[in-house]
Amino acid sequence: MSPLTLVVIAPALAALLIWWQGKRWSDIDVARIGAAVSAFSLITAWFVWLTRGESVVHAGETDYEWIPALDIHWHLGMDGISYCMVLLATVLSGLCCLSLARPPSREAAHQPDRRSLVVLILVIEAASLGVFTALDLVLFFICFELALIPMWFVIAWWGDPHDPAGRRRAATRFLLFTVLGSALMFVGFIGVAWQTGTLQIDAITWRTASLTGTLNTLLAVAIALGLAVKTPVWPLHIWLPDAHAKAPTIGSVLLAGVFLKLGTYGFVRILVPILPVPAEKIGPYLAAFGVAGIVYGSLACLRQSDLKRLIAYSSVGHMGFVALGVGTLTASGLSAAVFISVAHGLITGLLFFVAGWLKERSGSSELSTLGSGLYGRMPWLAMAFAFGCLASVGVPGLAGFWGEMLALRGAYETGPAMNEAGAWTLLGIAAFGIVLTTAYFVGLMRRLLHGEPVPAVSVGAAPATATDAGTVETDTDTDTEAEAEPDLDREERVVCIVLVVSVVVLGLIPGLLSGPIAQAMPWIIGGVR
Amino acid sequence: MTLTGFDWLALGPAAIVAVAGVVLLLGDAFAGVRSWMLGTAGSLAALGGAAVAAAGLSGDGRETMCTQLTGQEALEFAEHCSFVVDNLTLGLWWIILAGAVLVVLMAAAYADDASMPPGEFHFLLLSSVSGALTLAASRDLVSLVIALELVSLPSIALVALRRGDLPASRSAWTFFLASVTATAITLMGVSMVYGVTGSVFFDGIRDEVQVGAAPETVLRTGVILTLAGLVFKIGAVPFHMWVPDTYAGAPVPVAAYLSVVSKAAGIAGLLLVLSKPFGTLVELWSPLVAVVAGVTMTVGNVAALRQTDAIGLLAWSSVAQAGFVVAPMVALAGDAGSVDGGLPAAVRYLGIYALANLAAFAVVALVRARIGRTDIAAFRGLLRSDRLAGFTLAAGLLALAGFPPAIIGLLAKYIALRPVIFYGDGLLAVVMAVNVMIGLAYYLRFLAVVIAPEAETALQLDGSAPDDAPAAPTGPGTTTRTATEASATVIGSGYLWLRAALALTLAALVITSLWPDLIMQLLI
Amino acid sequence: MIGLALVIGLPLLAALVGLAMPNRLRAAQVAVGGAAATWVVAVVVALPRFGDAEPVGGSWGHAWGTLSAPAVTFALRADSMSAALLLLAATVALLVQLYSVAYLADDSQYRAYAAIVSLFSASMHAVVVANDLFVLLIGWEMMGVCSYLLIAHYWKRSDARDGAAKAFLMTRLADVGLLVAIIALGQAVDSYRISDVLDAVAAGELSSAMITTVALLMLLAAVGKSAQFPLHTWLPDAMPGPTPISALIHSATMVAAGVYLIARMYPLFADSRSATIVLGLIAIVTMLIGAAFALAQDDLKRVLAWSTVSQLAYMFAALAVGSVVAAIGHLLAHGAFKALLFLVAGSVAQIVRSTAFIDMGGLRRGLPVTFVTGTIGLAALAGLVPLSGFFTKDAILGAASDSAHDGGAAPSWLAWSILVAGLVTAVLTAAYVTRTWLLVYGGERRSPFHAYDPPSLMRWPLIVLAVPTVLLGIAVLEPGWLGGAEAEPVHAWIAVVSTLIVVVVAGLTWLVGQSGDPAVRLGPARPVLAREFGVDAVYDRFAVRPTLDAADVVLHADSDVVDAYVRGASSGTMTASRLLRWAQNHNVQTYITVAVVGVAVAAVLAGVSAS
Repeated sequence: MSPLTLVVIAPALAALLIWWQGKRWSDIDVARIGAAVSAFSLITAWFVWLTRGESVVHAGETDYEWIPALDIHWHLGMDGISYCMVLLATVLSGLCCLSLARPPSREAAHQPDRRSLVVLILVIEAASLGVFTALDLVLFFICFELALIPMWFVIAWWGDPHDPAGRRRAATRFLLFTVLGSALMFVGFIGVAWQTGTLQIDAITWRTASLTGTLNTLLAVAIALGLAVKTPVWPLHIWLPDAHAKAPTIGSVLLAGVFLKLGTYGFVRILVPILPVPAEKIGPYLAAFGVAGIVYGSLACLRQSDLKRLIAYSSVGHMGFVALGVGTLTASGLSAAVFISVAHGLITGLLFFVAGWLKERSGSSELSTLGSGLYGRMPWLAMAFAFGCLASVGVPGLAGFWGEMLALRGAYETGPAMNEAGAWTLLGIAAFGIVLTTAYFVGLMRRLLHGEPVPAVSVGAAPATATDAGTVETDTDTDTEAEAEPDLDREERVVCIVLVVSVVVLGLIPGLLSGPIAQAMPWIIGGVR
Repeated sequence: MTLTGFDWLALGPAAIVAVAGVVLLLGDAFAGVRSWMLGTAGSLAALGGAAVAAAGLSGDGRETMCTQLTGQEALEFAEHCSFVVDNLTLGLWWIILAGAVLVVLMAAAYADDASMPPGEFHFLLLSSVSGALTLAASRDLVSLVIALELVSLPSIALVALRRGDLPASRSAWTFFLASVTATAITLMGVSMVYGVTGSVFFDGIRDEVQVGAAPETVLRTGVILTLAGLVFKIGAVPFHMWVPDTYAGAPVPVAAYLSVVSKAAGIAGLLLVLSKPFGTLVELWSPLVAVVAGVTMTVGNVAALRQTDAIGLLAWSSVAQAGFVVAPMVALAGDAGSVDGGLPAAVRYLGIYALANLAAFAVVALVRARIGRTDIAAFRGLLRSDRLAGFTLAAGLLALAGFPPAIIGLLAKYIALRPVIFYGDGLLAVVMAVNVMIGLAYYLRFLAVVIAPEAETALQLDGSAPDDAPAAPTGPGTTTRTATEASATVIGSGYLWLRAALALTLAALVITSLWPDLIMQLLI
Repeated sequence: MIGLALVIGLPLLAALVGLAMPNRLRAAQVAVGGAAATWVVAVVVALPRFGDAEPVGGSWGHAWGTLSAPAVTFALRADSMSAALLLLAATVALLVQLYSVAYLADDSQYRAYAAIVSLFSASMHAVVVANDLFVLLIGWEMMGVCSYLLIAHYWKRSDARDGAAKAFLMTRLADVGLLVAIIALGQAVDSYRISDVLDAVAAGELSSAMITTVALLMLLAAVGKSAQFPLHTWLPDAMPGPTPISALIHSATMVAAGVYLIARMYPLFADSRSATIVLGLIAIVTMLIGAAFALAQDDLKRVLAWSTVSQLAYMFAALAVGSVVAAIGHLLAHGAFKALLFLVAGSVAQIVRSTAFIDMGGLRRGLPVTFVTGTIGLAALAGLVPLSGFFTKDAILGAASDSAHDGGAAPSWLAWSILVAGLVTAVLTAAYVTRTWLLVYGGERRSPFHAYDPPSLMRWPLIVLAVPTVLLGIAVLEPGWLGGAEAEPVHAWIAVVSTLIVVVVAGLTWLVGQSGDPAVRLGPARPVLAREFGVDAVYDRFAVRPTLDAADVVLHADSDVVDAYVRGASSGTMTASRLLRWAQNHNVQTYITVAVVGVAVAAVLAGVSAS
């Protein structure tokens, strides 16, 4: 079995093992196993990348005729972009598992068992790894879809314990949106395969010159729609805030850190290489929608009253930069898309972790009920949150900056798709978006972190008692605030430290990412230039 | 014109099944062995024999019941055969036989039900199956229609077979009337076609049509009317409304039979008629097929959204799936046989659908036999209480929805989409895409119930959590107990057969998901 | 190169280590130690650079990878100008660290505070020695972040968090200009090296349009950082931060960076007349309103803040008339005495537990050090001979008059108006300085307090800073220390005029001040000045409000418009489903009718399509 295949299916196998044999281990051990498997995938991928040959486009490429009758291959390969994404996915999944390796909070006490949650995380991880390494369109699509249903369960079952109906609705909406999108994307794929006579992405990219004309523009639109729903690009973002608001902590992290990246990755790694010419046609629109999303998302954040929704809308803004970058179809812009994806995954992952822990402690993510003066109440948590906010603002020296800079630069370069007037207008608006972003994050910190330490209005008790009698003995309605609001525990600190360190390192040494990205660029935009 | 001899080998499978049916009936009537087990065993043996015989035929195509045209017709000397066994026929046979086997196994749920006569049941079943087998091989309109009736009439009887089952007989009545209407329309169409082309043989008709001597209007009208009967059998719009009513009243195995084997027969007829005699009229029926496919899948899915009963849900879903089977037929013209053509696509989709659908129905049959309910709430937490059944149902639903981990289901959607897009019918492709979404909505609703931990769905699905389901999260302990004792008491002797059906379908789904080429190679 | 990297790396290290320290004492040791080590390195690096010495520099490119050409490299460079600022920044940082140990003796968050101060000085050093525009940008914006965090140090106070938020937001708004300018330059020059950019400008490779655009964008950034009109309102509101931080921000780091940026990029401005004119006008407006506002304030720190604004405007004016030397000279002098003044203000504030004039007065006796150093600082601010402030201001005004007479970068009308504005500002400055002195030291105590000189850790920084405050003028007496052309040390008539101004105005104010606060003589103008022309109200009215309204609109649009389509689609589907259910009426006639009609329609269509 090739190492890359191992990277992809190791989490899946682990998931199966835990499902069948999980009863042998405690939930905490199961979570640790999950983290270990993710680490294994991470290291293996790293190894594959290091040991790639010179001038090899796809590291660890493996190509096996899986379904000869339909000419579908088990075809995996990892170029620089895939590599970045694989690292991101494994890291975040590992941290999600790790964050479960502790006794459940009072909130989680009446939820389905954590073992299944770990299983779902691992399945999602395997699926996304498959997406990030697949070189066969159908295989890509299978993995793309495989991640959906587990995510539905994560949101619908482990989501907001105070709103069963709402979390179910949010999960279903998320699922149907993405499914409709991906189905259209699939139509586009088949259309491409029909003309090129192959499903192998690398093979297609060598013969894209012929893919022009209205038909292919339509196919590109179909594919772009599917990816745009996932990314999400304004105005197809509507499923995102609900899903994030209702999802459990790790659900939000995986959504923001891994799921959204399936879309951005698809744009950079699938759409642009296989349909370069049509991509130039739709590029400007994509960029325009992206910029609209930047401003729209930031404005929505300014008056948002729910913490997790706010972070979700901020994701819409950041993904707007991705769309802008991709829309420019310049090397800078496409690199920006990847860089932002990774940075956003880490930073927003951190923010969602912290926000989720806050919610688990206070039972709500309504800013009005979260109180103020976090600096005084939970210093470590507050510091982690402040760091996340500043990083998300895009302060130079942290990971968030380089991506935005590259996106703006791509717009300034005005690639093949746009004229200077249009591109520079977009650049101006996007730059203004940066200021708006600063505005709402500063406002958020001012409202949540600063001020007199006012404890949260605990709404956690009510449903906990209503839903399950099983936790009465452990029930802690009589807690003093100090016990109700503990600061970060050990696992939480580890998660924060890992994310903070990686954000700083990527901010100071962007080469760690830009090197691999640069390696992939030639064949990505080979069709464009 | 003279009829050349019979090739009994080619006729073998159909004949074996038919004869076996008669034998079982007689044995039941005179020998007085009123044992369901015997019927099951006999039927399985017959179907197995048929399968063996069919396997012997694979490879070179065989033709029989051919007529040589002589006299002045012989100006162009030709030989038209009524019964041909080629890859298409074989592919359809595999589906029909496999479906029949599973239905027989499912039917064992009635082993201890006195009001269900074993002999009649298996006789009717087998004769209907033989009809389906014949239909798949028939190459002239007359035998096509006869075979069609041979499929329909026994199945109508099957629906009403259970004594003293009033809703069943109501369903049968509905089914019967609708069926008769369809047959009448078809016969009218056939006669018109024969009138203008002077031939009942597919080849003959095709030649005539190509010559173009036939009066257009009559011919076209005839074609449309001929198709009607087949459309009825597959329960596509506008002949879809009998489906839910009939399935609801019929015994679950019979519903499964209707939704798979008799539907397969209809598909077979449609494929044959469209691809062979009317192949050159593609511009006439191709838009029609597209419309029927699109409307059918939409109507079926939308209607299924609000179903609260498993059988109703599966009934409407089978309507929708019919639309997906029909869709690739827009690309039947030209080199339909090629890998990208509509012919293999339709057959393969049909096969995968049959597998998944039978998996679902088998579990429904099991649950109904256990607790007499088929409302979706009855399946709560099935995965925990009965792993085999739960997995089978989950796999079936996922495959029907077309989502991984049931990869085979996703491939089915791929197979159905590809010819449509290759043929260039983008609109239909988009409609299919939208329907994939709608379909997922209700399959997932069902799925969530099936694999839910009790406490969760007790809150989620219906407020009325039954007594045996505790509100607090519980280990599977309590529920497994109730489940096992239920299966022990209610079903009894047929239990093992039923489990076998589950195991077979589950295994098939898993294996084909990991190694899809298996089924791809088998079906053309 | 190593030295340059160290002046950035050491404080950075100090910040990280300091955070990890177990207790307050260790943290203090690390912070001060780090600052001291940095200071030593800075001295070693800086001293050889003065005069016409060659600049040193180097770059580490490999670590940064290729963010697609042009490459971003970790490039550093130090010439005489950077050396001067490096010395200033390192010195002030060290003194502030020392001072803070005592000043925040009983502050629970001292550790974070000290670490951020270290990070702050690291950022400033990065700006000063950067030779890559992105290194500069990183330092530039990290300074913004640090100042944000430090101003919000007392995060329980609402004025502190408002001030912090305002400062961060306004400066960041301006910083966007710098980012865009950098991108544009990078594309035009195909390199982010500052040296390459300046060479390209010198070689005239850039179109004048490009130069003007970039210059204006950078000017925007500088205006934001240095709190010049129209982005001047954040600096006074940043006062709630701990006083040592004010000293840091107002003298050597934050606001100094703006002037430094323009000085560093001066060739761009020299080549763009329009940019120069804008620069000059901004300087004129700012120096006047700054001084005027300072005259009407009732809070010591706020007076100092506005005086900073107007003093920085002097430097902008110097740049506008093309004298980088004068600008940097005044920057250094101002850095010294303004840091001194703020530290004094801190000591005073600790004595009277307030920074309002109303609580002060009569602080002459009992605290000689505070009194003397404070007086020196104020005198230097007023520009009294022979203190540093006199010489540097004189140099600026001299440059203005030179350029007014024999032309230069700026058109002569601009130079003239700068000269006049400078003199008027001198008048105002002398006035508010005298007033401040009177209100703080003069008169009798207006509130009960026990006057004492601060502990040595706070006392010595004052004494140390007093030295350059007095002597730094010599730097100007010895021209060419920044390299470049010789300029006459003192411009006779300007020196006379400005001295006259100081003496006369101070005297008048003194006389007025004998009968209470001189500011009352401003009459109706006072409240207007005290309200600072209500610029904030305007911003609120025309920038903040509309944005928030737009935010409301978006929020509702999201739920009522975009979402409406989704809900509509789903409910529509459900309705359709209900209809189908209704059609399914278990009546077989219906079914057959539907079927027959359907077939009939199809048949008819087929027939029609035939003919």
